[in-house]
Amino acid sequence: MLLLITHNTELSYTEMISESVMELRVTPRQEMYQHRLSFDLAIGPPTSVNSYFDWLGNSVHSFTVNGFHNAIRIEATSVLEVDRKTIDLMDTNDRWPLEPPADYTLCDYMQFGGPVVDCPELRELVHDLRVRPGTPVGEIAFRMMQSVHDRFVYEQGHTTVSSPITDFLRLGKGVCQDFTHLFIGMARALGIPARYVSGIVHPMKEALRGTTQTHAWCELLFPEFGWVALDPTNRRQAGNNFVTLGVGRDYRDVAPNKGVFRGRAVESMAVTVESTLLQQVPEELAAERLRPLPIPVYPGWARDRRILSNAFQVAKSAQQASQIAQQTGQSAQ
Amino acid sequence: MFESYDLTGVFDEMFEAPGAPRPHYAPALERLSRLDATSFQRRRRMADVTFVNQGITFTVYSDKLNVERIFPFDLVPRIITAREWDIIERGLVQRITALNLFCKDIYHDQRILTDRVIDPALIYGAKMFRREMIGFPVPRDIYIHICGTDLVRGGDGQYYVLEDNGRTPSGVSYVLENRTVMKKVFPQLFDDYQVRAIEDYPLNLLNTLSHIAPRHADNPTIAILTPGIYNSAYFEHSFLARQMGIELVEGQDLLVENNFVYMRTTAGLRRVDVLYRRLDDDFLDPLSFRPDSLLGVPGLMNAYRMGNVSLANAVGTGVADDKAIYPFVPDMIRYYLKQEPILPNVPTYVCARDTDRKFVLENLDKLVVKATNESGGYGMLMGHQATQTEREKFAELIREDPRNYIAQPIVELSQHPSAIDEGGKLRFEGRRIDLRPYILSGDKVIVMPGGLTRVALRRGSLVVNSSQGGGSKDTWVLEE
Amino acid sequence: MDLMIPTEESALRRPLLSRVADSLYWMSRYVERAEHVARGLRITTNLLMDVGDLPDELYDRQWLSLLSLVGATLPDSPGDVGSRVTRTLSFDAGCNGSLVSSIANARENARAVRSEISAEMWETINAAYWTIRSDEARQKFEEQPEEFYTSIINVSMLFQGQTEETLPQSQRWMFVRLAKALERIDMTCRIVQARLDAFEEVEDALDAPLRTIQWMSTIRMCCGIEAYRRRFMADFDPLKVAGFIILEETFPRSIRFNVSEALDAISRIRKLTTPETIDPAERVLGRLDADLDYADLSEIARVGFREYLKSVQSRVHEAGVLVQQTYFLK
Repeated sequence: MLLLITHNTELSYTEMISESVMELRVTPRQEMYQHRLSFDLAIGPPTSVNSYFDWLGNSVHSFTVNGFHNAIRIEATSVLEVDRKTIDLMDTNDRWPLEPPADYTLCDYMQFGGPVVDCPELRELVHDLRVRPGTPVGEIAFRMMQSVHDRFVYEQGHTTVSSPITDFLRLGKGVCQDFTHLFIGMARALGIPARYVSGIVHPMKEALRGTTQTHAWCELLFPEFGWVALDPTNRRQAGNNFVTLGVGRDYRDVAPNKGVFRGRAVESMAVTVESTLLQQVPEELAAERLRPLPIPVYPGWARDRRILSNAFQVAKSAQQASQIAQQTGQSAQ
Repeated sequence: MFESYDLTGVFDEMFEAPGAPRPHYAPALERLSRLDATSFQRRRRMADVTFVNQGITFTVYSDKLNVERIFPFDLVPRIITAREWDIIERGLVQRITALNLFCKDIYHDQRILTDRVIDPALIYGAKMFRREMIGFPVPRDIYIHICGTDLVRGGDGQYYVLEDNGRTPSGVSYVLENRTVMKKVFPQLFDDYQVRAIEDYPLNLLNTLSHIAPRHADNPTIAILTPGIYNSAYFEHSFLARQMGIELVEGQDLLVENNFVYMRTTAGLRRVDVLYRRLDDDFLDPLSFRPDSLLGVPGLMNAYRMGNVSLANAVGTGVADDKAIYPFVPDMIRYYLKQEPILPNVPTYVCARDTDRKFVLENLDKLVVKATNESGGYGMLMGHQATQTEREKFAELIREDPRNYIAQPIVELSQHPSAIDEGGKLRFEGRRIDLRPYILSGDKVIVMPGGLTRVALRRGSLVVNSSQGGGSKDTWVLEE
Repeated sequence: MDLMIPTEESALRRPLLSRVADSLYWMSRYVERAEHVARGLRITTNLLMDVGDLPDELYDRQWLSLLSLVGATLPDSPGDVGSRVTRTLSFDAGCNGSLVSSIANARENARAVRSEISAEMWETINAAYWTIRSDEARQKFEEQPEEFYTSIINVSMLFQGQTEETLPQSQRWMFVRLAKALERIDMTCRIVQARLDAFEEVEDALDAPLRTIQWMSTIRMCCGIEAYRRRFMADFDPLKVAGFIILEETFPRSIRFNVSEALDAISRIRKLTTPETIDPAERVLGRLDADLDYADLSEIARVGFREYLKSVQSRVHEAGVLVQQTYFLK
């Protein structure tokens, strides 16, 4: 399937801010099942962009906007070919419990951490799956999806990107991230390596939940097949309409954008994703490139600020002092 | 004032037997014995006043009250012979070489893991294992540029390594200031000895930092990155900046533009090439690590990754000074250098190992248990002094998170005469000491002769940390 | 790598962190501020001993006027007005501008730039900090208040002397000097205004000797009584006093003297940082300097002492804001 994806992020701020530093993970990965044919990244205010691969092989773009500004716009356009294989979950040979993997780096996908918190409620959920020695792993995956689907409700506004699964377990409501983190937690509790995928889903005929924007799902490692992508939010395997942007231990490794800025403003973010089925690569997208977008910066803005004494400096220091007292920036060494 | 000096049965640095000093201490003892209490007391006060006036203080945080204190200074110097020092120095060079090779290996090929010399789970479970550093070639392959290694002396007089501090070790400013103050208040004591100079440390440190400057910087700008004046080691940061003649910067002074780091000056932005950062990894860059850190520089990791700024120590060295990794340092030395360790470790039980854990839980009253992710004497159980409830609490903690704990037999630290003032009455009593030498890895490895001798000033106490009532001494290494 | 020995040239051009410049500037202002407040307290204590019986209201007014030096208000504490004011302005850490808080703020700033100032400067301010917080300081304040205030004044004098003698004349020194001059102008304006508040409205009610004492103490608070006497002997004509405080060219506490000090400092800073540009603070100070150079007494008489000072104060304030914007908020 040949897909054109446009992934636009619009950040706006209630006040002028400066020194925005951002990191993006919005480039589709090159995988056996997914080939990126073209990638175009446009960022405004105009700035220089650097890219590198992180330790997980995700492609990262980073940039800074130091002058005063109150908006940032990011447009990522990619064309790619997806050809995923699906497996029959009810017909797999791998049996539970799995042998500890020979590749020790996989322990990153087997230990709890970040939002994927081990807790009694999780263990209870896993217990209810009635996994017995000899149960095929495919069947376990199926039961896990069934269990998550039956017991939890997809509803926005209850959790945030940093919510641990304990919140989801307590509220019973959440979004694709929560479904995925919980699913990963269950798999890890059973000793099955599981990783988090951030991506984009092209809507197909049947209604999918949570697909109007970016999406999150999970991959389980089957010794027989390798990583198998499952979408616990929609109780299905990932198909050719699933585009992988990043993989990691959990959301923190693959956040499509993260940034910090200087200023007191409140940030609001609007993300729009569109996807189109193509017959061929359009000429204007044949090359990979970076472009600036005409979003303004206001260099003289600082001149209008009036700070009359360093009482403000002292107050800020005092506030920092209490923070540092807790953090101390180490140095007890 | 030595009349009632008690050898207490542990290794005494000054005395071989009651009244019989070791030969290298004899001249010092002779001079000290001739002093009366009043003139000794006067010198003590002179030293204290010097420390307070110069602002040589550290800040103690407790109950949200920040108290500035001086680090108590004990006027009786610790003296180490050239022969003893030679062994220590060779041992430390060997150790830091292995630790640097270990860091490089862990963040690249991981041979030591694939060969199963160290259990990979220990590394992958370590908080300080920075995956961001995987595959990143740090300048000149040096990770730990500045190391402070804590040594203790057992009852047999043997030096043991207690721990390595390979992140942001502090205390070296006290070593330098102690020497200055000692020369000022007790110049006569130096008459009988040829003491090795330590005053070139700032120069050596500066050279160590210049050594890793990015290639583009012909005349590199080097700065110390401090968490600020509220940090307990702020005096040291400012002291070292002054000694080296370099800038002392805070996170708010720096900004990243196009992956270069700049400092804000009155004449605009100036590029910074090397940062001696006295800030833990966690606080270095809110974009990469703790997002709530106000102390760091957003985007610093990107500049570092691009090779546009060098950091000392490198990010991720915490994996080498992790207390859970410490037991394996002798194995590292054998593995990377094909040598036997010159300085032994204190025997250590790793609670992550089933057999060790069982032993630890059964012998809590005879062991010191340490949390692997705490420093400064916090998160520690001194088994023989603890109450039953405290021991039970620790047993529970160990069972919950075994990886986070190691245990060691109680090391009877050596003792050294210290001037003790009890109700205005001054006399010399034995107090337990350790030794923290400072090791610089640049073009070559340089060990500062001596280091920080810390004293547990409470009678019978084995805890020398400044936060727990410790003091310090001037430490002399003799020319021969 | 061999170490480079910095040449004099490169030492002068060594970059100065904006934060450090900011701290040096405020350190210097706080020290100068403490000196003025201490002198105000000392002179008032003295003055009230000299004048003997004053109506209560007038007596209190002398004390209350001091609070306006730092924009403080009378605390709600027991005791007579005099002791409430002196206590607040000496030891109330919550009162911005009290001696204890100025010294603490100066030390806090000095600590943040410990590596940029000399050991002598640091030790003076550090010792002052520990001293003013000690019980001995309280005792001295109770028993010999004059001596207590003098000790604070001497800290400032010592500190400023040490700055001259130990700090290389680089940007760092210029910022310290600039801040001292700006603070001195501001405090002088405040002192004169406070003095006028203290006795102006009731001036007609004062007899001649009392009036003279009031004017004398005003000059005393500006540290100029000896210089003034040498110039005008015992003639305390209000216009002469105003002319002396504002225009006296060679008197290091006059407004004109300090404006030209500040102008010199800022123009040297500009030459060391951005030589090709025009510094906005330098422009403000340059114009003020020229105005003062060509001002004459009749002009001050026409506008009024108080009004004239007000306009000087607001122009200096503007220069201060511009300095911050140009150099500290990079």
